[in-house]
Amino acid sequence: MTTLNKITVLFAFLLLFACGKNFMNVVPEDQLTDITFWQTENDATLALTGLYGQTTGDVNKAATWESHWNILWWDLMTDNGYSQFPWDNISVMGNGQLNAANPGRNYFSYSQIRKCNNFLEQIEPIEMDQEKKEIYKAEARFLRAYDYFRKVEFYGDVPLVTATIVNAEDAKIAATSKQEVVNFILQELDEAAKALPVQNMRTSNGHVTRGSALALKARLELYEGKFPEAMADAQEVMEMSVYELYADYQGLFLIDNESNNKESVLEVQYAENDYPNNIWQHVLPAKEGGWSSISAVQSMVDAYEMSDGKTIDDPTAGYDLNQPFVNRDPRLKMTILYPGASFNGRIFDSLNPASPDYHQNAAAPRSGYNVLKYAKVVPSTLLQNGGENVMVIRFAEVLLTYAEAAIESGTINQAVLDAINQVRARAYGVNMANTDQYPAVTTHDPAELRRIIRRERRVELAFEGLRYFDIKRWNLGAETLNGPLYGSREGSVNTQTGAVTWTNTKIKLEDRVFYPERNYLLPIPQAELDANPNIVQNKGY
Amino acid sequence: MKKTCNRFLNLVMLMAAGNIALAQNIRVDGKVLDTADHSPLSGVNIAVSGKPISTATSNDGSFSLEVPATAVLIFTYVGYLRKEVPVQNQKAITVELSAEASALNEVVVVGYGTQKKVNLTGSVASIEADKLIDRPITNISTALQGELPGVSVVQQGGQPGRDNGIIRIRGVGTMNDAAPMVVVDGIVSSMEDLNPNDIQSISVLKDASSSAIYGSRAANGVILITTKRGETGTPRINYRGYAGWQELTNQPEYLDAYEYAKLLNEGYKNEGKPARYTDEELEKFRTGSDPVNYPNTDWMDLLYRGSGLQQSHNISASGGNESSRYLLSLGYLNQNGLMKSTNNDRYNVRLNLDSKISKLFAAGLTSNFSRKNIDEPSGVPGWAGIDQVLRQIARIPPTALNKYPDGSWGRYIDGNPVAWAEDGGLSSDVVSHALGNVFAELNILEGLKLRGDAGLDFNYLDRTIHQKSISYGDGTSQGPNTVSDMNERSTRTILQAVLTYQKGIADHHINALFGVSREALRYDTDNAYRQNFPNNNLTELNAGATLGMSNSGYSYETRLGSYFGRLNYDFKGKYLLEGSMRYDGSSKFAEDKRWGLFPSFSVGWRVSEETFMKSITAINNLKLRGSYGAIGNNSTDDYQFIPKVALGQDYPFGGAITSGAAQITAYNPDLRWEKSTTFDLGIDLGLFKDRLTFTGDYYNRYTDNILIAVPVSMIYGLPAPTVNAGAMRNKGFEFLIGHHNEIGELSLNTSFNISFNQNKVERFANPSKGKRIEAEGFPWDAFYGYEYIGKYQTDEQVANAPKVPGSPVQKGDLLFKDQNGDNKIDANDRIVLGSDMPGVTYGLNISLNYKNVDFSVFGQGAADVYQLLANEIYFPFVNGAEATKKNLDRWTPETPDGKFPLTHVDQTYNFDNISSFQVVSSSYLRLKTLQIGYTLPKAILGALKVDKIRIYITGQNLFTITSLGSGFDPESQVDAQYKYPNVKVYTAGLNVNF
Repeated sequence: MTTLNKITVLFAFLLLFACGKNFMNVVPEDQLTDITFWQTENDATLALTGLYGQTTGDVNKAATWESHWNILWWDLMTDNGYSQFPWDNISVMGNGQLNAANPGRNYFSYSQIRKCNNFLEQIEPIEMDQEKKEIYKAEARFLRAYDYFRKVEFYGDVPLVTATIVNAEDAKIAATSKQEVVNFILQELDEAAKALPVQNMRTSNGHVTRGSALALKARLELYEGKFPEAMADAQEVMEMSVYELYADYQGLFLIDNESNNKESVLEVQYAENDYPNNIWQHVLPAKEGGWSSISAVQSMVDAYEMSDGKTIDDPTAGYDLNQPFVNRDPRLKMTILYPGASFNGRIFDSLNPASPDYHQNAAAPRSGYNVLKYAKVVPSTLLQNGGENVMVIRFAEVLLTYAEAAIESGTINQAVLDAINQVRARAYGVNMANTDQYPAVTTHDPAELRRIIRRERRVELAFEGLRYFDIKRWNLGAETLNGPLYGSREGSVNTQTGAVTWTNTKIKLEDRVFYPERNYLLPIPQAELDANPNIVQNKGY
Repeated sequence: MKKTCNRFLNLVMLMAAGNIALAQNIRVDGKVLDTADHSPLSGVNIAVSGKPISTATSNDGSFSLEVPATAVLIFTYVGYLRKEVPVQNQKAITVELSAEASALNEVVVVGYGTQKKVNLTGSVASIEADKLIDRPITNISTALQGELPGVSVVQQGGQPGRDNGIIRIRGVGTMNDAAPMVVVDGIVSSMEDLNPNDIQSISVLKDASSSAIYGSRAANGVILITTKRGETGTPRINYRGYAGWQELTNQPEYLDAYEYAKLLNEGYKNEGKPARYTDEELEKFRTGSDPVNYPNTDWMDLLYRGSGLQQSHNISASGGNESSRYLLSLGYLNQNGLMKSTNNDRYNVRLNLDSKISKLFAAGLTSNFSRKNIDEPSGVPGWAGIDQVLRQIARIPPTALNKYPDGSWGRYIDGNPVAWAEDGGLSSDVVSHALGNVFAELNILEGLKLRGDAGLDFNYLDRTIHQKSISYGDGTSQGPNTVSDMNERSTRTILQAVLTYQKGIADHHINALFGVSREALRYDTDNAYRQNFPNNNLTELNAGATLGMSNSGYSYETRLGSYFGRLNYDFKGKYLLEGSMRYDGSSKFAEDKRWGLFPSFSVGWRVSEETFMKSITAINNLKLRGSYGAIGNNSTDDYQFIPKVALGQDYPFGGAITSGAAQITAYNPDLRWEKSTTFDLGIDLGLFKDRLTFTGDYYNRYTDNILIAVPVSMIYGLPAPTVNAGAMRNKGFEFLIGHHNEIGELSLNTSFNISFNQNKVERFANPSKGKRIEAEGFPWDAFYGYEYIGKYQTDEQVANAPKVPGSPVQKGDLLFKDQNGDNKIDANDRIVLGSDMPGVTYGLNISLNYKNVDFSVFGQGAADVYQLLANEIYFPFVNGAEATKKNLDRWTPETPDGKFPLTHVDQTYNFDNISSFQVVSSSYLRLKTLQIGYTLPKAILGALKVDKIRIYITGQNLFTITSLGSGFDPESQVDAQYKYPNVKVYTAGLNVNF
């Protein structure tokens, strides 16, 4: 072979290495691609589940459609409670120190809305059972409406996006008026309700139902002052006969009773190991390994009536400042763990510096009061591995919505009183008819009834995330969200008898400042202002 | 340790004593010649080992001297290799000295080959093995620290096995991963698991012309590591070893319980809240009368009680004959951390073979296998990993109890970091790393060569995380115990062929290269998990409960195909030209965006070779060079151009987990190469026969189409997609000055390098402005916040000064400047506060040899660099954390000049609002290495049949001067409060050559 030939052969060899097209074509082996997805009913089912499921493994981030992390914490922005850990990102929302750079919690993300929009677009051409398809679509529309509901409540005007935004650059969208978004939500819920089955959460296994859609619609209508509509929608839910109040108020929130809970109208579901929450870690007292992240404040405690239905400031109520927890609405001790109460085989003592629950200890309730909703004493291994579902709407709220809407629209009749009394009687564990065993509401005076229904909502639904929105629509911010916030009084607890000797020193938690110009709205996060020149910051920030 | 030191000193003295020998004087006459042309050398210094006698050769190279008959003469001459000649009763001696290779023939490793240093037209910095080996370094990245101009290395922590430095070449050149490409013996790999003792040389390719041959991944610079190979001759056996111990560098000093409690009370009082502790309680902290309920715990002291001992042993054998050569080495490194339960064990085995099979055909093997085992505390469920231990140790107050009198653990909210470290189980990484290639070389005809390489880089990580359950003395516990078993495999295969041609015709020299390569990287991982084991001692999955078990896994694959070529031409060795080109295709981009072309061009002029320069004898080397070229970067995730639907978006309908899917990542079909173009101008100067050398470079690197996720409006609904969005420019100067001199038996080497770099973002569509700013016109990722202008001192200020909306302030709080004068402090008042990428880095190396003793000192530092001292690392009581002694210097009505603001407990205003109060200059100068060595005299060695024995002691990170002040390590960067601290290392070492 000549030298030249050798070289030719060698070059040919080099080029044989040539990097062919196939060599460079690789695809992921753990994910589907848009090209092959969205073909079958099974794909639609997978995608529907994806609308409920959370996209991050972090149970404290509400990347799912809703989360315990909101429902239990939202009351800490109000005169019901106090959040002691700044990293829970709720305290600034309570004391007014939030701003664009430090906005507390962020509900501005459109990831859920995008998923729903995309789902509604992609499911259309799929060949599948038509009835199922309609239900799937209704579920997606509900979940999108729920997200918009949260957005208008927190931000007022927000961009209304109902189709998938393909190009990120096209996302610099200006806000739509709140009214328009509210109308959209109501219409979507209305249409979703028509397609969704009448079921409670037990039979639907956590899928949203017609009751969920109408109850949410009623809630929004109540917020918006559309009282007759709210009344009608609530009534429709009441007449569905798949819902009933659970007999035991405290037991309603315990995982052990979940299978019998027909009160839940809308809930976030969890499962031990596979999809846990960490509520127990957050709510339990320090002695039980909890962090006492959620504590009740004195104003909340004072809101509970005496067991005869009178408020504690009524001189005839017989309220004893030295025995403040005697003869009170039973929901007080079922909701709030106070100094001297017995709990888990001991007397709870948040006032003695030597006690593990001492209010100044890091994992103890700063206010002196723990909150008992959803609290169950569990082994430490389960503190962050809880499977209890969290109710977003329950039947008691629907009843109170019905009653309030009726009272506000001037329709005061026995049905209205019954709606309230059902809830009150259940608190005492008695039948509504046995009016001698609980303080039934009998008055027809609209002003009196308004006071009662507002107190009833606060007490019945304490730490279920509704108080802030109630204060907002009743415009009580200046009197309830302003000034010093107090916990329990100091004192000493007899850990044998539970008797407390009180001092006059109140535990001061913080000074809150209410800014009326903010209209109860949150700041648009700075990152959004930086990325979207068309969005305008809310007033007061 | 004191004992070890004494022993060591005794050894030194013993050896020195051996040096004293008794002998009679004789007269020696001799001549010194140049090996090359046998011409006489005048002015050669001749000294006598161990005696105060010396002389110099005359013009004809002759000398005469009276010395003991057993003396050893030492010949030194600038530009020539030192030579030692035993007299052994000879009366006439002729000695030949050979010129030092460095002067003219020194070669440097460049991409796909080597080049004479004098012919380089690009900017290449290189370092030889002998600079590295005698420092007790545990990894190669830290060996590079401060050694080379333009190469910045920051060692953020000292955890055994995780102490690699972060390397940046000529600043941060991209908005994504700015780590340089690492090529080990021609194979793309990492430097992490290499044995420093195996290194022959390291070259750093800094400009486009030197690195463009690596094309698409070379934009951040290329580090070429060449390992040692066998040499022809008698077998050589070498042992190197050292042992030593570590100490913490500068760490924060926390308040004791009494001081902490007092300051906490003050903080509450400042916020109008009741005191946390009564006077009686304070007294209990002070006196320690009730150590269970009122303890005073020094947490740092309890955690950092590991032995800190470390040792390294290396033995190598090499040799060969005309047809084959070999090098075999075995290395062992063991580091015990200062934190309990931290440990690193590493074994390295290397076999390098070269074989000449026929006149035309040669083949060889380069192989390295390493296995390391890194242990660290695994924390407990919910607080997994050493990070949580570090986080908690920086937070837990001294008033928390570590242990009850009965020995059970105390607990503070999240738990007890010391309990986690000691009783919480281990996270154990076993990393097996095989790196090797076989090559064959064919000499087709004179000057024409074909080389083929098949390389493999295989990494296997077997990670077992065992978390024990912990019971505390207060009756609570943390658990359940868990075992998570993870396997991670990555395999990189490379096939490449390179054809080279070399030809000289008269004064013209050509060097050409053409090559192709294909490279595939496959990564696989899987993870299995169980919990609730019957006890804390069982660590295998089968022992755990099946309820709650889980597993997961995924993979990715990246491929790269390339053609490349280079052409060098020089005329008379005076005028140098070089052009190179690479054409790369990557699987990370869609088919129509896949290929990228990366060309470069450079010129050099060796002015010193011109006849008109010959008269200027002081200048022995002067070269001007310039280069321009484009290089690429594709360090971004795979599959980003494909629309993906992720599984695992599950939900537990009715308590039963149900599979879900959703699009959770954006895709971008238009993704393509990031490109950077660099312009480089350089000068190399050698004066007085290279006694003084100087290299200077100016560079200007513009990176465009940077692959980065630019912030998008949240309304988009997905995390921002990666786009070719940004452009930035780095420009700067770098200088290297070397000095080399010999005065009698004293030889002195000094080198100083300094680099200046300036970074500016030139295009970035949507600015991101958080704690750091990513926006046009600013240095990339610089700290961003308010300008601190003092503290609120008067009620008038509190009432009227512009404020952050919603934040209550009082006297003593930080006062920020209202930059735009709109009477409030908000996002628009933020300014750039400094960058943590240093503007200036420098290194100074001085080494002295006198007779058998050698001494070297090496310092390194940075200037024009800032750090954000965030949260509890700086401020007291942040989110329930502890406080430092520094925090006592605070504003109070009595001390309005105190450094820190009014003490707060719950209010976050002062630390939440990033300001120039907490972004501080972190310039530093660190004494990196100090070493004293002693080489045993030849006389003793002869008796022991050993070629060389050298013993030394070394101190690393001995002291640091920094503008950060005490308590902070300038190399630990942002969020350093959660990092394993840097360590000082004291070692004694031994080298033996047989």
